[in-house]
Amino acid sequence: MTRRRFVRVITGTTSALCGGLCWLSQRAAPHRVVRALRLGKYPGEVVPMEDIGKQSKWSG
Amino acid sequence: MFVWVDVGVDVRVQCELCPKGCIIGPGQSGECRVRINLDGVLRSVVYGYPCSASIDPVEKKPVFHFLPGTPILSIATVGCNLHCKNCQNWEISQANPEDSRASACPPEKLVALAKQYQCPSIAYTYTDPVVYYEYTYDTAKLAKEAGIRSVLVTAGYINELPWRDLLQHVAVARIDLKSVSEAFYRDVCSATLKPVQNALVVAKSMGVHVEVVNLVIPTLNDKPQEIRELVRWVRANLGKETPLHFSGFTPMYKMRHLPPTSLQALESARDIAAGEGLEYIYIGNRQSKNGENTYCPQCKRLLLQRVGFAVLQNRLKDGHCPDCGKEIYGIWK
Repeated sequence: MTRRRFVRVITGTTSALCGGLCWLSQRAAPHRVVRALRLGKYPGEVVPMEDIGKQSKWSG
Repeated sequence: MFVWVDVGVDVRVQCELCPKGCIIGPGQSGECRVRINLDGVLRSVVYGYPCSASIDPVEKKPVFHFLPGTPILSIATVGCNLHCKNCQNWEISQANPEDSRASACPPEKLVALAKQYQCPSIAYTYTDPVVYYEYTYDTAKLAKEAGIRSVLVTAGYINELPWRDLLQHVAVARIDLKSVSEAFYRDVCSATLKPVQNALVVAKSMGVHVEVVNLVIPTLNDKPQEIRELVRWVRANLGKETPLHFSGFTPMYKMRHLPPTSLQALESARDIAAGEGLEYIYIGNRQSKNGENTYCPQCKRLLLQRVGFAVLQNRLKDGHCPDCGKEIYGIWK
């Protein structure tokens, strides 16, 4: 292997590695989100609304 | 190889709504239990599903300088981003949505209910509207268009940008300032102090009507020096006109070993606040003589007489003292 070919191989490998690492770190980082989308279906029990005219038992 | 497969398949989401900044793996929820990651998309599982909806007197929030004596449609979903050991509503705030009951009530229906029951305002309360942010936001926006005001009853643990967005549609922010000690927020609430203080300052600076509640818990935050520090912070950062409610603690949840707050402790807190120049100081959760009344800070005459959640007398004239004419901080019509 000539010196020129050796340098080319090293350069190519290094850039491929750097690119891969960048891609990997991008994939590994979590998506940052503020607003959530609505799910649509409640995971618990859905019941009819009770009489809202009376005061709540909860504080606040 | 494992790393490669994990990274390729798992799509994690970081929720930036509140300062906790939960990094949520697929199928998992954040600390609040109600914001989950489904296939890499953050979803609110409680949107449109309140676990409680009732009509309360506005004084119950407590909010004393906003449409006194009016009914307020009050809603909550399950979940909370704080885990206060003294939580009075822990059965809903610390519940998992899959284990709890709720009713379908989209924002349009809530606004219609408020109109039907002649409520001039809607409160997002009982747990914390921060965790049902999108539901609160959409309802508050719709309500504002319909001439109905929104009241947030919150611990104020939210990041600044979403907080500013929400406040555009809100008339009142009733925020807990549980202490001015970082250690208290860390040990009792699993939170931090600075974001709460920032939420208070931002709300006030945006022209939202702000009232502050401090729950006085024996041995934890009832030292006169700590109360004085809190009062001085309120005065310096929110202004002396900001109503401050000292509320009595009742042994609850993980703090059943502590005694309830005595009336004397609340009166002593009120005296400290009065000495530091705050104009409107109230005592809550305990029957006290005059502790719930509003007095004119200038001529000291009685303006609003309250007993429990009832307003017995309202002498205000267009938001002013009828005797000396001083303008009283609040939203009165």
